Amino acid sequence: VFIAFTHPRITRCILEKGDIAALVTRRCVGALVVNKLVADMNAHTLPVNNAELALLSTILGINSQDVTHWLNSPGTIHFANIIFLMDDVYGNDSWSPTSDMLGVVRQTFNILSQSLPAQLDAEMQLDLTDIEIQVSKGQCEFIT
Amino acid sequence: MCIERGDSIPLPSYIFIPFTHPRVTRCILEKGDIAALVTRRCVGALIVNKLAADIKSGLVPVNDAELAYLSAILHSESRDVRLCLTQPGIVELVNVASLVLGHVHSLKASDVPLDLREMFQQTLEILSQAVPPQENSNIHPDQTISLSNISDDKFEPAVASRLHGFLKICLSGTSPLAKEVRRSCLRMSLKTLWLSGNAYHRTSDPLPPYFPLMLASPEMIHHFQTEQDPVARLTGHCFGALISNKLVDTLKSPVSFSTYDLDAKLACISAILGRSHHEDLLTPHHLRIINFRKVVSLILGEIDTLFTNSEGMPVDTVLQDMLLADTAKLTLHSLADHLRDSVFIPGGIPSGWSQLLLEICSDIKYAFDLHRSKHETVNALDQLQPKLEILLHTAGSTAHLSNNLAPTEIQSGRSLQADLMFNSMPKSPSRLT
Repeated sequence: VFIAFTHPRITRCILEKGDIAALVTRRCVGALVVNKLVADMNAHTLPVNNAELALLSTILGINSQDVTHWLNSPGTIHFANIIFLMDDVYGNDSWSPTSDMLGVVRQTFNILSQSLPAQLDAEMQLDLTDIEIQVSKGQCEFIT
Repeated sequence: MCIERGDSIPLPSYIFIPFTHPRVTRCILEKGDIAALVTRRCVGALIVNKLAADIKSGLVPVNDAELAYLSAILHSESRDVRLCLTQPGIVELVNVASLVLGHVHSLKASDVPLDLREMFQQTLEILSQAVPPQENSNIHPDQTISLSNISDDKFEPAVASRLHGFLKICLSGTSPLAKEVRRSCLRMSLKTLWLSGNAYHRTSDPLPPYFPLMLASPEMIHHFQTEQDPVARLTGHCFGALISNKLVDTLKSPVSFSTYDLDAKLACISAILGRSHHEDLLTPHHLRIINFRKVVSLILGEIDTLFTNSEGMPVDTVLQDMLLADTAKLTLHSLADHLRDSVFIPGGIPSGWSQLLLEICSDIKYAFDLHRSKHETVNALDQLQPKLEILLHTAGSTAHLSNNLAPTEIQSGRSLQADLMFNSMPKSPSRLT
């Protein structure tokens, strides 16, 4: 899996534009791959090579030098990964999600947030338990 | 979370490292719908406050990345931010003022979701706790009250009042601050004023009375115009021009500045525009063009400032102070955009104006291009003056303007005059290349 995902051909696919559903799905897949790759690197189950650095660099939109720097600071890439995903998804002017899309985004956030430093994850989970997402006429509403 | 807990716990590195990366800074400064915009601005402001607190307490190092983040969010030079960080509460005051002034009215609109308003309110509460009560005995007693104790409806005027008090401390001649610190604090404060002026200029929200009465009062305008620091002076001019234009919007009929009992609004406009047209009866549209023309002249008068590098050396080959150039460019664009709005002109925009305004916008864009030389910028700005003269001469039938056209020519031949003059103009700034 990781050989395929670190190939530039797949990276290009993840970054491709398209309709909002395709864009959101691609971004969620990209964010999950980033998270898993960094977790494996931190666990030293994978050697850090140029292909992985290139993948992280491309999907996160930062240069390889910054990726290396961020890898040395535990939690940085996991946190940044969530910020970038949130910005790409919720910052999109044409964001008008269906319930399927919301489900994908919510599950992705749940998975990503588990990789955050314990203190931050606990507080984010606390916040998420107060939030229900309702979909009405294609609009997303957060009800606390 | 980390920010609410107070200053004793530093921002974790996994938060401040990505937040001080240009990729995230760009995200925060991006536009978007009202929800995205407000969320980004609130997050950006909270990080500014926490980072400033951590830097002051020595919990995080002051490196280029942190300074770059602070300067990007506060729209100021790193050097100015660094010097302002040496003063208690200044970065925090500028931060809360940047968030509040110019944006509160938009958030009061009925279509803004409740959770968004609550988030904005909570952000202001957190930010205001970091602004220390002003204890200078020379300032108004209201300013000694902590911002966190002020009710919602008075918060915006209270921030304006606090900023006004601080501006007075920064004014040259009387300031107790060290020379370089004073200059940096004044630059940052004026940039905040300009941002709020520009925000108001781009909306239909009315300008709050604290602008003509306090922040842009004739006394303050006089100080800005006579300021020793050229960067602060030009920023002050640009701020004044935006405020003047916004105040002109409220005028319903031609006005004269020849009387001595001008109200605050007219006194403010008069202070900004100067005395060159004091004997004339001027329509709102004339005032807008005179205002525009004056800003162009002022920018031309300060052109060396835009072409002086960070070591203070004049460089003619390429624009140096891009932040200041951006302020000048956006001010001129805002003024030009306003002129396009035909509702201000009885009978609509005269023939030939649309093309002329397009040419003006093109000149502005050309003048402040990143790679422009001083000669090219001056030439492009010079091109604006005759075009603005045409607009002034053809704006309406008010006589006695200081121009070469007789009133009858203005009244009867304005379309023809505009077309003739327009056709005799050089057509594009590209000839300058």
